[in-house]
Amino acid sequence: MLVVEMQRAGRLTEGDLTGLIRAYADGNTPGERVLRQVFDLRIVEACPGEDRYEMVADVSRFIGWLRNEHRLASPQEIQAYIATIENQRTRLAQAIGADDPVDVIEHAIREIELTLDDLRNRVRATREQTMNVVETVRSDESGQSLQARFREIRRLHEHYLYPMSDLLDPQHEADAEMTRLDQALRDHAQALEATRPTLLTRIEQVQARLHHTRSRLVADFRIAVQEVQPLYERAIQDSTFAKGVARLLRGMRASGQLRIPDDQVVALPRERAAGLFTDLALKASLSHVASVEPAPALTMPARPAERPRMERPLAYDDLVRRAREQRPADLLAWLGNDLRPREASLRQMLHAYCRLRVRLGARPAGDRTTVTFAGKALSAERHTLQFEEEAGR
Amino acid sequence: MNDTNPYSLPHLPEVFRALQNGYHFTIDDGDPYFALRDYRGSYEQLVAALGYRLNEDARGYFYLTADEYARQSRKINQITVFTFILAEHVWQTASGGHDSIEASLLQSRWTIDELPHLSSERYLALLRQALGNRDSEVGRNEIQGMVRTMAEFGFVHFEDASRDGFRFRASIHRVLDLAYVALDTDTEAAEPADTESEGEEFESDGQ
Repeated sequence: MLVVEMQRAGRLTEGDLTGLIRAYADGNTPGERVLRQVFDLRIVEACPGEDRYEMVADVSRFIGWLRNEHRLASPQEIQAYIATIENQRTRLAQAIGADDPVDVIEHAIREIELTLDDLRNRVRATREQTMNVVETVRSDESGQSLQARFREIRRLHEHYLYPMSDLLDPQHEADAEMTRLDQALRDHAQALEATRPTLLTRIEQVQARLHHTRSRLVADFRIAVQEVQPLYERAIQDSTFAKGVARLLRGMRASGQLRIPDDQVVALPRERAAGLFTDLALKASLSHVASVEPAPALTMPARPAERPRMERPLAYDDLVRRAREQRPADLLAWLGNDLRPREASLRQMLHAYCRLRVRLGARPAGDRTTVTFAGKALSAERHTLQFEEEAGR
Repeated sequence: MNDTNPYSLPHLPEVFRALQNGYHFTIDDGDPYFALRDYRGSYEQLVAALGYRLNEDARGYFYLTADEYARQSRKINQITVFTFILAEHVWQTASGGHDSIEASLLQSRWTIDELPHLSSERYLALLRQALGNRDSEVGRNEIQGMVRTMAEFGFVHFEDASRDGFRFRASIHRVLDLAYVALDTDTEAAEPADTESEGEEFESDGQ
């Protein structure tokens, strides 16, 4: 725990260091002894040119790795690995071509393996660190502002992942160098097959490591990009929005006006000048309405002598519940089937249809439906309840 | 729905009266919103005959505009400044788990006393300008008044009877969109030379 705290604390004064050691002392070992040990074991060293101490870089990296902290690889670093592999490939070819002793060729192979491992680990660390950043941004654990979080995402995307795509995407620099190395290893394997079978095994081992590295590079890099891309796009959108807000507020401060073009304003209808009674066009229209002669009143046929049948009241709430449960594809047909056995009247049927359509938000299906009810053929645009209900309704 | 009798459209009186007063209907309004959505064609015809245009935004709200040129009113200017101050605040402070300005504005519950508008001299100066009087006092009442105006237009809804807690509705996008309009408009030449560079930043406080 002491070492983890030291790593977390960064650069420490002697007082800080002593305080930390005291805080984590187990009571059996004197603090002075622990202090001496952290120097003797080269866990901590003096910062050059300062009166402070810091953890030795290798130990710090190891502790960081244990704590799932990773350092992003820069594009320049990846480029340096590619250049190193190119040099090592040439050196191996020269060694085999010159028929150098086994240990020289073995050394050249080992160097290639180490570089491949380093490259793979750095890209994996970049993926891990990318995931860490993305998780922090998504979970808002950092308590940072949106502005700061998105600055982090933009930095990640624009300084690391985007330029790195020119190196790591298939058909690009890293891939091309891997192809050249793969071809060279095949050639060496062929050449060594008859003469130096021990080395052939080593060549095959490095080939396997190369294939593994190649597939991991692409996979890890793609995962990192996929994690960051949606957040990056949102960051750009938000930052564009923020820029617009800043510009508008700045304009307001400078001139006291929101500078918005006339065709883009948020205009309210009640503030229009036309369409009111003072508007001449409307006046003319009204005077035209006033001059219209009404048609003669219609003579209604005599009411039938017999007393109309009493309607049985409909339980609309039950009807709504049934409709919600059954979600009919054709609301009118469903209502017909539901209301016919209940001896509902035509009026009730039409009333129920209008009410359910609005209340349940039935949607037009695009075709028409015809239903016979109480001796009448009813035709309407088919409305359905078979859709996902909107949230909040 | 074009064959519907325009005089018997569902919720016609309340819907038309509200639209004409600048109200924005969203799904939060329930039946009147669904009436507009289901009878959109008939409503469109009806309001067109009266010189209006019914607009439906894909983000889920209806509003009315008049065909002829209209100015942006002082009230809308106040709403815009109010909303943009809040957007700036959201961008610059911890977001409470939201992953965008829009999500933070629309998914949060706001209370009058927790709003940032009175916390900074720059915000107060902007609000005074929006209210049209550089010397006027801006306090809780003015802020509450602005929120009530926003509720009248359907940009927010109050969550309690005391009208302290409120939420933005989808219709606030109509105001938020003005930020993009500002970017499309070349106003830089008219702006003072001593302003900060924009980048992704808002202006900082205390200038």
